[in-house]
Amino acid sequence: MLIEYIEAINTFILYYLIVNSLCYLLLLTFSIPDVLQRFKEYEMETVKTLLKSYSLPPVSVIMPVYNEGNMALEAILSVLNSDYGNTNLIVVNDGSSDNSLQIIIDKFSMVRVAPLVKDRIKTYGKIKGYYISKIQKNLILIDKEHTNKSDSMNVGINTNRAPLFISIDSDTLVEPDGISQLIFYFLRLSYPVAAGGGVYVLNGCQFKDGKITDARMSHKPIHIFQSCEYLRSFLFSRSGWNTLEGALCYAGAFTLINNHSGMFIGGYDVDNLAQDFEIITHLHEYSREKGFPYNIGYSPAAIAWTDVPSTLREYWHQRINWQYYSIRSLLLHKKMLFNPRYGIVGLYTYPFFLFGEILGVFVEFTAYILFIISWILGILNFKWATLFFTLCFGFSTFLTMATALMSLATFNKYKRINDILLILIYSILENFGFRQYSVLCRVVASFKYLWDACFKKGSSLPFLPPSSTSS
Amino acid sequence: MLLSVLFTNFNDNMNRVDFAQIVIMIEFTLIFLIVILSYLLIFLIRFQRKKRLEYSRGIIFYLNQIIDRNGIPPRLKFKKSWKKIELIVPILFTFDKRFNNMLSWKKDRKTFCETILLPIAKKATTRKNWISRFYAAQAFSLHTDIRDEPYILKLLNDPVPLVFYASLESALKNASKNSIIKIVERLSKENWMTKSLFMEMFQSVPTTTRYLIEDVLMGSTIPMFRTTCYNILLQFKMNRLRWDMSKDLDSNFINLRIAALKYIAHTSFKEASFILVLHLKDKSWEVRTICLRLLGEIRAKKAIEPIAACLNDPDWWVRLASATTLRNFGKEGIAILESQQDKIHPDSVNAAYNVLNKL
Repeated sequence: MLIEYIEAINTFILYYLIVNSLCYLLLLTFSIPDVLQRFKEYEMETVKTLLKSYSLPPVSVIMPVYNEGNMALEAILSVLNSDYGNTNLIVVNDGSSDNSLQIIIDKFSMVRVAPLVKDRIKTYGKIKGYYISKIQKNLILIDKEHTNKSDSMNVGINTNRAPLFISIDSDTLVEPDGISQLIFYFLRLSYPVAAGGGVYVLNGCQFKDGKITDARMSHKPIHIFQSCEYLRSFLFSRSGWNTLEGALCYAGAFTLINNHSGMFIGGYDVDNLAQDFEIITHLHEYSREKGFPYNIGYSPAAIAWTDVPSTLREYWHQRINWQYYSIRSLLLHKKMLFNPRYGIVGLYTYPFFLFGEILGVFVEFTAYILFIISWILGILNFKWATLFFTLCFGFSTFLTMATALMSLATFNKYKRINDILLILIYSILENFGFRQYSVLCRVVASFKYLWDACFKKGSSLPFLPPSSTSS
Repeated sequence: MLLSVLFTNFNDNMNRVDFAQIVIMIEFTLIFLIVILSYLLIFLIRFQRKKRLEYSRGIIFYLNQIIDRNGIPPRLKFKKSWKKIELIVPILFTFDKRFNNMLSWKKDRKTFCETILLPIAKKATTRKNWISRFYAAQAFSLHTDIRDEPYILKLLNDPVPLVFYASLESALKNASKNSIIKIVERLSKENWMTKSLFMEMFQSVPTTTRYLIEDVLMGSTIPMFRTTCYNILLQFKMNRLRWDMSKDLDSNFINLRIAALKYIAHTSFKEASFILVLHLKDKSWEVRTICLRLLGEIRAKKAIEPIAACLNDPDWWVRLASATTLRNFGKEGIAILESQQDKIHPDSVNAAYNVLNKL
C-alpha cells in the first residue's frame, strides 16, 4: 500500500518536472531571438549612434540608501558616470544609523534647502532634510526617517519631475551604458510602461569611483552559486518572457518605470519587501483591467552589478523575504489566475510563477523526503531516482551551462576563461547542497507565510498602523 | 482527465520510465541544438558587422569626394549596398558637426539628400524594422520639403516612441497645420499610463508653431484634442489668452477642466487666482486638489482663507493639498495649520499634522 502511494506521488512529481522543464525549454527558445536581437543592436552600436543623434527625454534615478556607507558613494558615482546625458539622481537616505548621510553630504558638497516634495503618493517616513549639491547639479539628497525601501522609493517618486524613473539599489553599480541601453530599449516598445535590466554579481569585482575596473568572479562558492542563478534568471528567463508579454518580476536593483504609470498604481507597496515583484505584477493587473495597451520588457544589454549575500545566513534571510513576499504579491493579485480577462498574463505567466516558481519548491522538497524515506525503507526505485535527478538537476545544470555559453558569445562580462569555467563547474556543484538549502529556505518561508496568514493580523512593519493591510 | 489518461495508459512502470527518458533526451538535444544555432547566428551577426563597417567606409569616402570636388558629383558611383539608411544618417550627422561652417557642404548635403537619401528614406517609412523607420524620420529632419509631409505624417502614427519622437522633431522643424493636427491627434491617444515622454521637445520650437497649436485649439471642439493642446502650450513660456476659456473651465470632461486651469494659472496670475478659488468647490476631488496646488505655485496668499477652508474637505488628497499649500505659504500658513484644534476640526488636524511632521 505504502509503495503504491509512493509510486503515485513519484509519478506526479515526474510529470510535474517534465511539464516544468518543458516550460523552461519554451522560455529558452523564446529568449534566443530576443538576446540575439539585443546583441545585434549592441554590436552595431545602435544605441551609441542614437545617443549622438538627438536630445533625450529626462530620467530620474531613485536610489534608497540604508547603512551602505562608502558603497553608496560608489553607486552614486556609477550613475553620475553614465553616458546618458539627461539624468537626475535622487538619493533617499532611509534613516541610516551609520555615517552614510554625512559621507554623501561631504563628498558632493550638499547644502540643505527647503523641501520640494509633492505628496502625490502617501508616504510614512518624516522628511528630515532636503539637500542639493553645489558641484553636481543633477543630484538631490533626501534624508528621512527610517521606514523601508518601498517608502523611500515613493518619496523619490514624489520628488521626481522627469517622465521616467529608474530604481537602483545603493549596493549596485551601473555600467556606463547601462542607463542608455535600458532607456533605448524602453523607447522602442510601443506603449512602454516598464523595463528591466540585467544584473550580475558584483562580489569579487574590482571597482573604483563607480567604475568596474576588473569584472571577475568571486572565489567564494556562495557568490559563484548566485552568479549561476543570476545568469539563468537574467540572460535567459527574463528575455524569454519578452515574447510572452513580460514577466511578473524584474530586478529592483535596476528597473525603469514610466512615472505616470508608477503614480497611477499608487507607487510601491510599503507593506511588501519584494516591492519589485509587487509593482510589476500590479502594473500588469492595472493595465489589463483598464484595457490600456502596454508593454513591459527586459533588455539583457542594460547591465548593473549588485552585491549579493556573502554568508549562508544572509542568503537565508534574503530568500525568506523574497519567497514570503512573492507569495503575498501573488495572492494579492489572485484574480488574475486563469482569468482570460488578463490575457496571456492570467492564462500562462501568473500560473507559471505560482505553480512553477513558488509551489515548485514543495514538489522538489517532497521528492527529497520521499527519496530519503524510500531509501530507509529499502524500497527505493533507482531508475525513478535517476530520472528525477536527471530531470531536476541535470536539466538545470544543462540550462545554466547553455546560458553561460550564450553569455560567453554575446554580452560577455567575464573576460577570463577561468570565470566561465567556474560557472560551468559550479552549475554542477550547486545541485549538491546549495540547491537543497535554497529549497529548504523557500519552503520555510512558505510555511511562515501560511502561519502568519492564519494567525497574525495586520502588517508586521513597525511604522505602519497595526490594522494596516495593503490595498 | 489528461492526468488520469496518462496514469491509466502508463500503469506499467516501464512505460512511464521510457516515456520520461524519451522526453528528457529530447529536451537535452533541443538545448544542445539551440546553443549550436545561437553560435551560428552570432557568427553571422559578427560577419554582418564587418560588412557594415566596410559600407560605412565607402559612404564616408564618397562624401569626402563630394567635398573635395566642390560639389561636382564624384566619378565613384554610390553603390547599391551602401544604400542603408541606418548607415547614411549617422554619417551625415557626423559630417554636419565637422563641416557645419562650410557653405559648400550645405549645398552638397542638400544635393546628396535630394538625390540619394530621401528616396531611401521614403521607402524605409514602410519597413518592419523600427530602426529603419527611425532613421527615415531623422532623414526628414536633415532636409525636408512640403512634398515629404505625407511620409512624416505616416511616421507620426508609429507605435514605437523613438520613431514618433524623431518624426515629431522633423514635423516641428517645418510645422504645418496638418502636421500639428496629426501630432495633437497622436498625443491625444496616449493613455494615462503611457503619457507622452516627449513634451519637453515643444520647449524649443519656434513661435510660429505655437500659433499653429493655438489655432488648432481654437478650431477644435473635441475635449481630448483641446486638453492635449493646452498641455502642449504649457511647455511654452509667456503664453497668452486669445480665446474664451469659460467653456473649457466648465467642461464635463475633467481632464479638459484641469488642463485649462493649469493653463490659466501659468498665463494670467490675476485672473487665475479668482478662477482657481471658484473651482475649489468643484465636484471632482482631482480638480480641487489641482486648484490648491496651483494656488500654492502662483503664491496666491490672498486666497489663504478659502484654501484653509479646504482643510475640512471630505477627500484626503484635497485636505493634504490644502495643508501642503498652507505650509508652503510660510509663517501665515503654518500658523493656520498649528492652530487647528482637535475638537473643532479633526480632519484638518490630521492633514496639518501629516504635513507639519514632514517639515
